[in-house]
Amino acid sequence: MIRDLLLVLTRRRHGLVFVAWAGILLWLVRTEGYRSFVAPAFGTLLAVTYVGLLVLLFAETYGSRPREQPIARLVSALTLLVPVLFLAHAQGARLNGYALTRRMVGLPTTTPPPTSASARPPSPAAAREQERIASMPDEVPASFMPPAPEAPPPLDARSDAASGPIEEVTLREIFNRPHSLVGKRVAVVGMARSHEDARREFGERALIVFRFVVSCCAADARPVSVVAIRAQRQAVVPDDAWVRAEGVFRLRDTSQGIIPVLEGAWLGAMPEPRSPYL
Amino acid sequence: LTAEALPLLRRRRLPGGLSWLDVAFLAAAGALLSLGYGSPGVRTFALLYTSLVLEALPFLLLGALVGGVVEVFVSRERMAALLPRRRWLAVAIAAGLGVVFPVCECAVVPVVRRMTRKGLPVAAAVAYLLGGPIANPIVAASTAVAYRFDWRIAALRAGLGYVIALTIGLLVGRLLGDEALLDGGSSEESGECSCDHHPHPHHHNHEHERTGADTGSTPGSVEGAVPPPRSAWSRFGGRVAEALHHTSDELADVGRYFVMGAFIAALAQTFLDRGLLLAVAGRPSLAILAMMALAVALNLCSEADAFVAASFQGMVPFSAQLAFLLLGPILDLKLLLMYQTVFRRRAIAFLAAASVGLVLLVAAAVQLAGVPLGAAR
Repeated sequence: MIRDLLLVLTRRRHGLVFVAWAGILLWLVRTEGYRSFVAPAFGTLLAVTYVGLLVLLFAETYGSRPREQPIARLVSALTLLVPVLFLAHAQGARLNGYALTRRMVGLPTTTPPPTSASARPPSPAAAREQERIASMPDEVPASFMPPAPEAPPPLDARSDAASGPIEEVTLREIFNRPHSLVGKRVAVVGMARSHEDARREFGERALIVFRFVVSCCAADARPVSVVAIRAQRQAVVPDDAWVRAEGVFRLRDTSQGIIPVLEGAWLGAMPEPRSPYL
Repeated sequence: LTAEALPLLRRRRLPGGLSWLDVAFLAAAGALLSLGYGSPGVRTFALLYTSLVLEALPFLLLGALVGGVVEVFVSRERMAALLPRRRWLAVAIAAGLGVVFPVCECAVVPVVRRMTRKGLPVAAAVAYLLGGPIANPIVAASTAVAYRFDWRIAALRAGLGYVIALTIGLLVGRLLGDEALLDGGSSEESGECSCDHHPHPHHHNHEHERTGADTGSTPGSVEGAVPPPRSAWSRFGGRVAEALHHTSDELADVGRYFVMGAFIAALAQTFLDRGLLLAVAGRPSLAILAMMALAVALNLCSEADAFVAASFQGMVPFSAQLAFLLLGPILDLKLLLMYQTVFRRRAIAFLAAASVGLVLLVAAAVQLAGVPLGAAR
């Protein structure tokens, strides 16, 4: 009886594997769950793969295989289902600070500005902002609660010295065109993480806001980050919490190189973006 | 180890025909999942492992499909007619085939596997296997984008990749010949078929012009029975079905090695601290070796690895970045396992040694020449 069952399973092993993988792909594509693993552009490829597996499944179902086959082949086919087990375990997982600590090599650095933008005297508004930041006492830790929609104070109250509009940028843009942002008030979305080097270089109020850039899949993810030097009296941010960081963008010349920072940064809790990676 | 255990360990198969590799892999996966369930490390591992598999699956399927079509629709005679008579010319063309058929390293393995069975010379097979994933326009474009549209780096990578593929192809052809192949390149003559959709051992031309697929008899029909004539469409449909069966077999065979290689790669991706590279960054020779080791360990797709290499600008010399870019697409942990579906172990060892040696040589030459590329972010 068991032997007969094993023989049937062995004969239909490819079909079983294709059913499992086709089901997984359908679910990932329909729920957009694949975005945690691969770049958004892969959605179409995975949908096509799903169709391809259905075609193979059809051919397996209506094709003939020998009745008697070594059961060891079933064991070989089972290896193809191992990733399915780990996929189940990866539900809800994201690349976060754990991966960051193994992929980030030092603080984020950039090249010197072509026209030495960081050496230019700041605008009057920016200079006032710098003075305000310098005069701030160290922050008073408090619990970090995701703010209710009405909870956060208006932006003006948070940054009275700020001038001009806030430029919403991605961390990737900060990485790609840092010199064009110097002196501007910018806001970025990413995960927050305390960082020893950042604290050593910029004081206790410094942390990093980071996100991963993915070209194909999470395996090639590279972290992009900015040091956020926070303003006073802000809540303690737990590691890997999604935040929107807003501050004046500067390039600071340090012992580790030229490091992009957000000065006088304010952090607010954010829901996780639809695509966690850039 | 007892005297009885040693012969068992030397065998590649366990009792019942079980493969050591399968059993060890399943045991390792089970142990990791049960011992580290829920821990941040294993969750990250699961994420990265799944990512590697999902990323490669479409390309594995595509490669298996092309392999299946080659198996059924291309005869040895047609393959021979397509190849240039001069062997070195065939190798030179094969190393640059990626320009016309841009494929990543996952997709190329099943294609090469089937093409060698159709009589593609081993030298040309190796040249395409190694050159296809580097010397192709998609990889060149991604390399240029990663290095801020510095096309010199993309051209250098493609050109050197081509030369390395060509050199190793010629070396394998000269030193190992068809003995490098798993079945000695003679499976068709011997009548052995790696697939299992034929119910009994028989000699068949894998162009399938004389099998049940064409004649109307189902595989397994009584030998000697005269099948009824079938229409051209029906014959074509039968051959398509055969091609799909071969695709299934190919996907399962190559995919099995892939999921094992990706497992090891995900372990390295999860637990390897790239910050350790900083310790050797100041010494070019060590940096080159470290970046080569990283390329083997990370198992990145050739279409994405340039972005990772570029992230090391300003930290390691360009020669080390180039070594990473050249070695990754031709030698990594998953490829080492996938190559087992095509080559004998001795040939894989030769391929690995030649790849490492040539990339090291090229990187050292670039370092000594002081090529002023990829210096800073």
